[in-house]
Amino acid sequence: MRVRRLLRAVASVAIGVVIWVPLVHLPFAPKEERLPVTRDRLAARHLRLWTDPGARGAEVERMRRTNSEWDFMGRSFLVWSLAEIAAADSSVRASHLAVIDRVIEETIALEKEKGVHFFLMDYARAGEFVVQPARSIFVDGEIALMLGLRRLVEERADYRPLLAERVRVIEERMRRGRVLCAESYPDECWTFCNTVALAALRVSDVLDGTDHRPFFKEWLSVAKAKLVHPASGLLVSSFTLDGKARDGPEGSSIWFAAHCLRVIDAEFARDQFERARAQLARGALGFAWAREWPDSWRGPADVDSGPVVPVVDASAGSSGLAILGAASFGDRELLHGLLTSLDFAGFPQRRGDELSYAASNQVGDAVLLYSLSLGPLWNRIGAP
Amino acid sequence: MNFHVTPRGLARRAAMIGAAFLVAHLAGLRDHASFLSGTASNASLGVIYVCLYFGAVLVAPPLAIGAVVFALLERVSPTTTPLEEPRSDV
Repeated sequence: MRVRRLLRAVASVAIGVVIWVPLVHLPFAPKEERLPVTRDRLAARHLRLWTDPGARGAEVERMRRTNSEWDFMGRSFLVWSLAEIAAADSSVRASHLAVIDRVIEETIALEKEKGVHFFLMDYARAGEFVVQPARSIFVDGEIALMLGLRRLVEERADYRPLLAERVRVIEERMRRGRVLCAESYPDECWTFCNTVALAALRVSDVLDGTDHRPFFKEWLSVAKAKLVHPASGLLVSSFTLDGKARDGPEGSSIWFAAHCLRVIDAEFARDQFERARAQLARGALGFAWAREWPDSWRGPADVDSGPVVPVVDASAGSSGLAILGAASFGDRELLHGLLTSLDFAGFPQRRGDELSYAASNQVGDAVLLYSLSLGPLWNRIGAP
Repeated sequence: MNFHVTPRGLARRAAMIGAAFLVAHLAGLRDHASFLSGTASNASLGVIYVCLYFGAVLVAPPLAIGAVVFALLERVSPTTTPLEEPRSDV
């Protein structure tokens, strides 16, 4: 009798599992009409951080203890987000431009005062940049794009020469690499960083009448010949200045690289996104997530991939950037699944009119903010 | 070992998990989940919170549903007689 009772209990719980598991995603599924509210609440927190020096200082210190790049990228993604929002909504334009300018000016001042290594991880000091004097296209490209998108919202004459100089340096440095890419770290080039830089050149063409189309054509030709991982068809993540691959394709690079390439070559960008979607994105029971590596290449987990959940092979870094990719390429199904996963496992914290994710940090939240904001400017820029 | 599984026992376990999570949540342990992003925080408290959260979301509801199913089945076809007293309630 007791055994029968025990078996009945086990069967009852099993029925509970069968009923509950297909339903568990429902409380976390976003409502399409609420996404602008989510965006605004994320923005509210970032705007407060930039007007509350104490709070911001604590947040930045928390990130820099792990990765100095995150401090920098948090600025970039915030500026790009606010620029997109300001382009669409004139009621917040003045206030958002004020914050954008503050971020840009402080970032450039820090770069000037502290040097090229301030926004790089410590290992940047372990070697010498091949191309001297030392500069990182990670920094140059993102600052250039900040300047460019700001000027697209509303012109600011004193930013014009700043952008022009960054653009000049970017193209010069990229041309010095055998595969038309520049270093982010000593003898280390990243697709993520070089595609941002290309996007900045494109913005310069739209704003100032420069014409980088021959360079884009050259770059695409070299990239397809030398930077595409043969087995997956995806661009590799990192390589030496001579073009020797260091890391194969990774989700923490390709989703964003594909987004940037939309304004360079829409067809190639779409190809990269669709390949990434097929080989990295996964979904089940209403949830979606992204892997860091395709089946054809596996790398070591690092600070970019973030924690990787075993069995499902879900990468925090790739999944976060997949949200950006899905938003950029209009993949509503993937976006919905990823946002459901985010709400389920990201531990949203709603305080007043602000939103942040406890499992994330300021840069992760800024990437999410950008994902929910992008469109008005990026679509306006378009590919040449 | 002598124990009896009861619907009430399952429901109680579900409630305990839920209550433990609620206490952790109200104590502000959610902030420490930031260890998942590699951002400096108290990882031990973060692990506790994450475990309790997934327990509340993934374990407690099936236990609660199972308790209801179990109770219904016991009503239709009891596996204990009125004179049987469970020595411990699981």
